[in-house]
Amino acid sequence: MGDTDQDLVARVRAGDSGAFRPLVERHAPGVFRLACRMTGETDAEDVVQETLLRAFRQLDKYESRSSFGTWIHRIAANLCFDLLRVRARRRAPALDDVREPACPAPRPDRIAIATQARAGVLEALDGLTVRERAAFLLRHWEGFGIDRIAEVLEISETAAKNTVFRAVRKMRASLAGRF
Amino acid sequence: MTGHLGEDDLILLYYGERGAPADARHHLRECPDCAAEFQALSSALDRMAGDEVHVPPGLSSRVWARLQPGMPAPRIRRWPKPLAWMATAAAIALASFHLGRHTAPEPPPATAMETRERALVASLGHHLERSRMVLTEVSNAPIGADLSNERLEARDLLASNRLYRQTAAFAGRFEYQDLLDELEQALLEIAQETEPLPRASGENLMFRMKVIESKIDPQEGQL
Ligand SMILES: [Zn+2]
Repeated sequence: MGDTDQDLVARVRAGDSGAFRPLVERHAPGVFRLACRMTGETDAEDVVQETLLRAFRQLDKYESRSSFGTWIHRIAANLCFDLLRVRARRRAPALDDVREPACPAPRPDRIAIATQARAGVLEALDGLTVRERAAFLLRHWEGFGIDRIAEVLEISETAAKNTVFRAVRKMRASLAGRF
Repeated sequence: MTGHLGEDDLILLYYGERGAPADARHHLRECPDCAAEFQALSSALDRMAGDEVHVPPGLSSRVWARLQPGMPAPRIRRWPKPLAWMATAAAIALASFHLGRHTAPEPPPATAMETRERALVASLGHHLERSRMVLTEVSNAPIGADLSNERLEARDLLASNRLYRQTAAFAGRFEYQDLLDELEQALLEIAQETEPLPRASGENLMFRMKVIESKIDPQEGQL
């Protein structure tokens, strides 16, 4: 189908809620990958659901300054941060810069499936702050440019760039012995 | 260009980002030290790239199916409604459930649905908080502790929980419905159980309750 995201958004806004479906199909997988690496597999689908629900309800707040995909990822990233904050609060009081296992408490079947390299990557991701992790996975796996990462995380491009730098350094350091 | 390239420059080059010195590519070709450094960085990052997330099949269809019931019918515009009217309608919507009218004769118009949902969300936070306290009490209690108060409270919460679950189902809020289903089971076990009490409340359930609580905006009474 040739409709751009902007066309579909316009149709949904005009009252054709069915036009939201292709938007779900286009963006659910990317949001899932983000959520999975941020919060772990168990909650990833919930994050996707909530993200798209919010996107639908808040569509009138969406301004086409950023792409629909970027906007959706911003909603998803904020949900992930909320979730991680709640988890952290449950364990320890007021952590300003929350760290949270990328895939907490892996189930035995997961461990069996995971290659050693994957386990290493997950462990390395655990060493990042949540913002570093989001910036890194958007840059590294999702192919987002620094400018889009800045939009998703609602920080300046300089801050986004520095966050990616820090993340890469930490990832390299913790994977140095493994690869 | 005077010195060697820094790691930050190499990272920018690796990802094809702007911001590295203008002659960085040229320097990489000329300088074996920087070339080796870039090679090391690239191979480390390349190896991480192999870590793929498996997106579960049918994800988009499931998400879409759960979204649909909450969507307004096409071409219905949402006009701002007077707050007083909203509050009354919300009270009536909830009261109608108290009176046992659990099924509507016809699908309600979007506005009634919205109103009911608002009322649901507005008071759900408090209900979840109370329930969570009971679950926490029970799961932290030493074996053999007297839990009669918690059982009474659980029975009380059960009644309202059913109401919330039905409202959530009606409004198509499946994420609440599922949670409330699970909560109902946990409360039921506490309310009915003789020793030993289950630790069935489960981390995951507690966690999801907290998440939903944390998502509810008290000012709007809405997500
Ligand atoms: Zn050099």
